[in-house]
Amino acid sequence: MIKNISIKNYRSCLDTDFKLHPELSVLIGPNSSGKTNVMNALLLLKKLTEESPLFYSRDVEPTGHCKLKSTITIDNVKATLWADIDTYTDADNTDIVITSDQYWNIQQLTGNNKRVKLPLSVARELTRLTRAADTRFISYYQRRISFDALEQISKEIPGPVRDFLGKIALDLAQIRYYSASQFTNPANCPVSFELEKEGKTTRAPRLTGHAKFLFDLYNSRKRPKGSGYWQFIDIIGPNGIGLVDDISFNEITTSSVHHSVRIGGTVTERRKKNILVIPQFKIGKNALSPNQLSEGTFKTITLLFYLITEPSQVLFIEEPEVCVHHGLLSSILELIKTYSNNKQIVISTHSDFVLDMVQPDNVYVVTNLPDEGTKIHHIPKRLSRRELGALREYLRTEGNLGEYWRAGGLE
Amino acid sequence: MAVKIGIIAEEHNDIDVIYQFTCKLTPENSFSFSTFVAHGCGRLRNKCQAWSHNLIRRGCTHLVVIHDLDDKDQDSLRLELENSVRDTACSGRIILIPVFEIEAWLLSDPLALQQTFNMKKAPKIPQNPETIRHPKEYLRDIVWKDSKKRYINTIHNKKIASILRIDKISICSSFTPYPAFVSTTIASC
Repeated sequence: MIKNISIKNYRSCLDTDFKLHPELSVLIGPNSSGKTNVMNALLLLKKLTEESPLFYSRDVEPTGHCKLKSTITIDNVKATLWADIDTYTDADNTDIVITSDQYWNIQQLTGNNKRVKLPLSVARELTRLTRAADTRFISYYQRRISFDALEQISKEIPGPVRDFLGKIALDLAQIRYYSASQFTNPANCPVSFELEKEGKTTRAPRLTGHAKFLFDLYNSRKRPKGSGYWQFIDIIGPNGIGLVDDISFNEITTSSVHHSVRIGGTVTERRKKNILVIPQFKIGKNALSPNQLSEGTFKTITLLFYLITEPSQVLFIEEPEVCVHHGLLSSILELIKTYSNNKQIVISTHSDFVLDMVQPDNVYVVTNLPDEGTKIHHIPKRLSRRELGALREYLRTEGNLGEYWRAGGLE
Repeated sequence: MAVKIGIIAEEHNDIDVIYQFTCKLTPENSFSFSTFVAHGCGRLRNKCQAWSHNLIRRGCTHLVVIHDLDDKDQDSLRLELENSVRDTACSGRIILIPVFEIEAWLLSDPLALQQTFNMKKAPKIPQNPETIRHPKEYLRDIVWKDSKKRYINTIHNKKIASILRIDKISICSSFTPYPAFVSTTIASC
């Protein structure tokens, strides 16, 4: 669980502190106040687990330098991270962590205040390496962390600390981010996708966006009954919100032959089997391709799929209300609230209807003033005791949190 | 001619539940609903008077107001709501105040829960569900425990209500005036 994060010099977050709610945090604020930037800063925690400073560097100049401080707890053990991060923002406005210095304080394990230097990406690789021991994958991981580096880390950092940071790294690596803008215009969604099969291995080519969602959906349906996928089907199906009756995948096997010429002129032949996967969404008597779904239906299915099936302990959702009817939105929010008992969820919204369905304790107002940058104010702390009392009395006798916000009572 | 009943409730699923129950008490074609949903108790109490007048203007002849008791005092809540609808020109009205939450009514028939959530056996529920302090959370917990399914009130309340045997809810004192209200309402038209 991420307890808090302090962000310095990241986009509009010049000096921003955010103490997250343990279950559900709801960010509200005007456009350009920095809600998305706060989510992106939180996502840097995930990206720190992907960076491999020891062996992997990109030939790019950093476009930004920021500092993060964050407290994370797992199994009641608290760890504080200080990170200096060089980032590169690509043409899709996605941040890539190029290099970082990461220091940890885990007093409960080390018994002192001394900071430990171990990048999350290395901690993650170490844990994978341990888990992959005695398997054929070990050589793959060994290529990513040198024996010298391993030996040095083993000498300097005690085993329990390494293991704990590995756990944190694996948890943070699973952070999931969902934005309504990721799944706009289902017409862009492919009607099928192809998997490559060689021997017993099935591989998907690099997929993104809508196609990636279809592939995730296809993959997760193979999980046993009772797993997240089947809960998802139950919830979107006729016994739940009734968006679709069923989802099916037709598989057509095709084959191809690839020839390559070796030095000396020897021609080798490689046979590959491909699987063409055709998803269909059954609604009433119709079997629809994914690109025939309405935008609201498509967005809702993707949001609920990732909410229900992802193993991540932390989920960020931007504007769950986009393109969704308020009746369906109330069900989505009930689901988000239910799942926030098991995973930490941060959502941003411009909808007073969303605010009607949460408590003031869940709400954070995001502001962006010149010179100050983005600031996050937790409602129970932003309001004086008297103002908070007035709000609670209003909710008890007069109206809802959403209309209170709309009338200017929160900002 | 079908009776037009005006319903004022906190949440949409409260209306779904009362609609299903009404269908069990009288033929579906003998009534219709016009509704206002407050999305919160404070707003319901604040808007109750204006909404009840509006429902009458929309042609409703009868009014139903549903408000969870939660931690409030039943007598003063009932008095406040009755005052809000007192001067509306309708043929009949009823204030329903489920003890704690409307989900207590849904807990009165374990077989309906078993069927809705495909449970292997009917869950064990206290004799009087209105004694359960947090019925919604109770329902969520037994559904997860016995079926490994997520209970979502906005989705499942309607389904449970449609299966539930109406005679089973008679154990809930907050519901008992409703069947008589429906039969009087229908008989009046």
